[in-house]
Amino acid sequence: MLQPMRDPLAPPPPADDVALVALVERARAGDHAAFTALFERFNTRICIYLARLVGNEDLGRDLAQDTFLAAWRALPEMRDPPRFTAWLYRIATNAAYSQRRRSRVIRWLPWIQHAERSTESAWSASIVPGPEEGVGEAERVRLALARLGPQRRACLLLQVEGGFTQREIAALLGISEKTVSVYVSRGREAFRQAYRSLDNDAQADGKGGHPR
Amino acid sequence: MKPSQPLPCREWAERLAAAHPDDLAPAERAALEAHVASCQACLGARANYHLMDTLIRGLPAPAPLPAIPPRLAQLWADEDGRVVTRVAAPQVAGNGRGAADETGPNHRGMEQRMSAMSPLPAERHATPPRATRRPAGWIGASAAVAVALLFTLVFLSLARGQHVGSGSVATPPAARTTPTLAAPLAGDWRAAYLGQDGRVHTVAPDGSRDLPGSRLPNARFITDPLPLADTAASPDGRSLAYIAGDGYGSGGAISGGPVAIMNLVSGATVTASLARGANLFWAPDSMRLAVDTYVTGTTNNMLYIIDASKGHTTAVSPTYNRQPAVIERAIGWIDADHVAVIVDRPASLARVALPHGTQLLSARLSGGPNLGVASVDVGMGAVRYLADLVAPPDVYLSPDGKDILIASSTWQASAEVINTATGQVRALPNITAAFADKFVHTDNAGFAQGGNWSMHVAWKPGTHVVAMSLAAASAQLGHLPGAAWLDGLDATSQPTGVWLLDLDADSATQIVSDAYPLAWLPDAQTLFASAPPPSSTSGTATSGTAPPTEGAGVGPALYALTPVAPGVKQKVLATTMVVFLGLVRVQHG
Repeated sequence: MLQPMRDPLAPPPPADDVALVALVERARAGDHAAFTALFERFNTRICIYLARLVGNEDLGRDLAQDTFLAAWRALPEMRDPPRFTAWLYRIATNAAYSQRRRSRVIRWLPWIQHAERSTESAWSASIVPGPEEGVGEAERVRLALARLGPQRRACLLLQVEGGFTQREIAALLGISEKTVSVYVSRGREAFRQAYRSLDNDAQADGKGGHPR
Repeated sequence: MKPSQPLPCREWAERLAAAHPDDLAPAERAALEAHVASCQACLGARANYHLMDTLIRGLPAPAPLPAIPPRLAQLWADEDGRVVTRVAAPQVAGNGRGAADETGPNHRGMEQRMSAMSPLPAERHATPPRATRRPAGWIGASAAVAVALLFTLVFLSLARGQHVGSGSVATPPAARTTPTLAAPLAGDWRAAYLGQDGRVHTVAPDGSRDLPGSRLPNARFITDPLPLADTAASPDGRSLAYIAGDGYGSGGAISGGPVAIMNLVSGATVTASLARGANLFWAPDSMRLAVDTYVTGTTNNMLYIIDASKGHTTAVSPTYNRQPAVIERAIGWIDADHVAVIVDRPASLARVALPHGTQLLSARLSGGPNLGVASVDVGMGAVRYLADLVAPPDVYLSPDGKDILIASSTWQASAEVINTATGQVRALPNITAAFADKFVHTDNAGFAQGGNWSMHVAWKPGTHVVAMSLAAASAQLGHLPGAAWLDGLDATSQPTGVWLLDLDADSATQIVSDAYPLAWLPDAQTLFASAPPPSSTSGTATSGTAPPTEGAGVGPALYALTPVAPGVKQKVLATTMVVFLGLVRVQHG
């Protein structure tokens, strides 16, 4: 240990977290520019999360609009600014759940039948043209995700895309940590088997499965 | 349907799927690792899970919202027409005084308290949130409209184009985190170095020094002149990360071992769960590190993010156009979420088939220089290609993350700057001209023809001024930290001294002729530099470009240089430095 070196203060919070909390505090007080900065910061992440969650980019963007509007309205009541990220994801998740409850038109569930019936409609519209194999792969990933139940899918996406711990996901979704662990585990395995199955089908059809 | 892949063991399945480093206790993780090492089914499942994460993160990202949602913009316009400010809720753990205490009566009622229990009270807020009133004014409304228009224009401009080919101009990221590079912290900054006694020493620019510190765990500093593959002091000056060398790899480069992080306040050292590392870069928050596993000529280099407090390591899975991208090495942090890297050019990426379900890994089909500079989102893995490079480049990222300097070197005798926000490349013809006649081409096995490269770049705080030296393979440079492996090469010395490159003004000025910059103090007035030991190891001298002369010192010397027109004030601080470690912040008491 270097001598003499001593820090009487507790470890400072990360600068990034400090900046985020400062933005949240300003936004809570009604600062539009601060909320705009928060919007810029989370716009892409929330859009990606919601698009993956509901399996539709346009719907994901619509829900992202609802999310940010709801976040602005709810900010004054927010009690834990350092947990803004998880709070925002919870709003996004609830927005998606609400949408699912409200509308039967958008087939958020059951996706497995929807996906198997139509791989052309919901998915292909949002796929960016590219190498044939890449497009096929994106389809398979989306279809495999679609075969997961909404809660498994949410847990998995919050872990993979959101980077949250299982404890954070549990708090965020209002379920037990054990339940999250089970959802993630079963979701991962279901995704793996689904992807494999789709890959085998693609090979059998000569549509660009992975060579082995 | 019969599973086409073996299922993981039931009792390990949940732990196997726990991806976040904090999901498992150390003992649980150790037990899992022990099990996976002996179970093919779980090993395969975990490999597939990692690939699965890469696949999900690699899905084409939907376009983000082009601007603040219209309903929110309208809401704001309405608010600006009739309100002053929103009332923040009082903190739970506080004195109960909210912002309302300063702006007027707090009208928050039962609805508000009820809605505070839920994070999604949108359905209950049909009207704008509570606020105190202020006189309406067209200025506020106009400003809101102007701001909305401005953001609309900005986002529309950002939304144009998502990918950049091999050209020199890239589109900005769709949503980029505002850099949070903190201003230099006040405090008693010292230069830290590893001395020949094997201990960490700290010295102030005035020559005052502290008691010798500890030895670095794992560092073989006595018998090995190059004990460390890389070192980096955290931006807050409180931690030191280093990679203990564990031998020499091909080409004479140090083979890196585990990454260790020493808290200079507590003295505690954690070792990252990463077998080998090559280059270290602290994040602006001083809480994370980016480390690559760069090995010249290989294609399996990886990028990891390390939690500095716990040593937990997370692999970044970079993807470009839905394909895994091959990272050559890291350059530094652009902002809190993005690391600048050197990558294989997209055209050279290719997918290959590998057994055991790892078919999604990528490999480089073509060898040779085929590199570019890119930005990687360390959370998402998304790669944004910035510009091509001539390989192998000497590339340095500015501390504010805005500029990448492509310095003059053997392979590219011109200086350029890449803007990390736009990907735009700006040539620096005057700096290029300053170095045009400074190259000494040598023949040696390691570098074919050439042997010059820029080294020991130090960015002047708060500026785009770079202190830089041009070096060459030479036995005479054996005194330099990090250059001893050049001993014995048949080469010509190329000491060009310390140059100050002003990247904004495109100018180059040599301040001393035989020294190598290490780091600027945060006050931007003093530059620590390395040079051969002087004949006299104490005292202060002012000179123009006169170098410290070779003397009786037993190791490289550490200098404090203070540019004072027309010369440079030099002070010898140490003569037994083995490795310069970085700037640290000392607190006495």
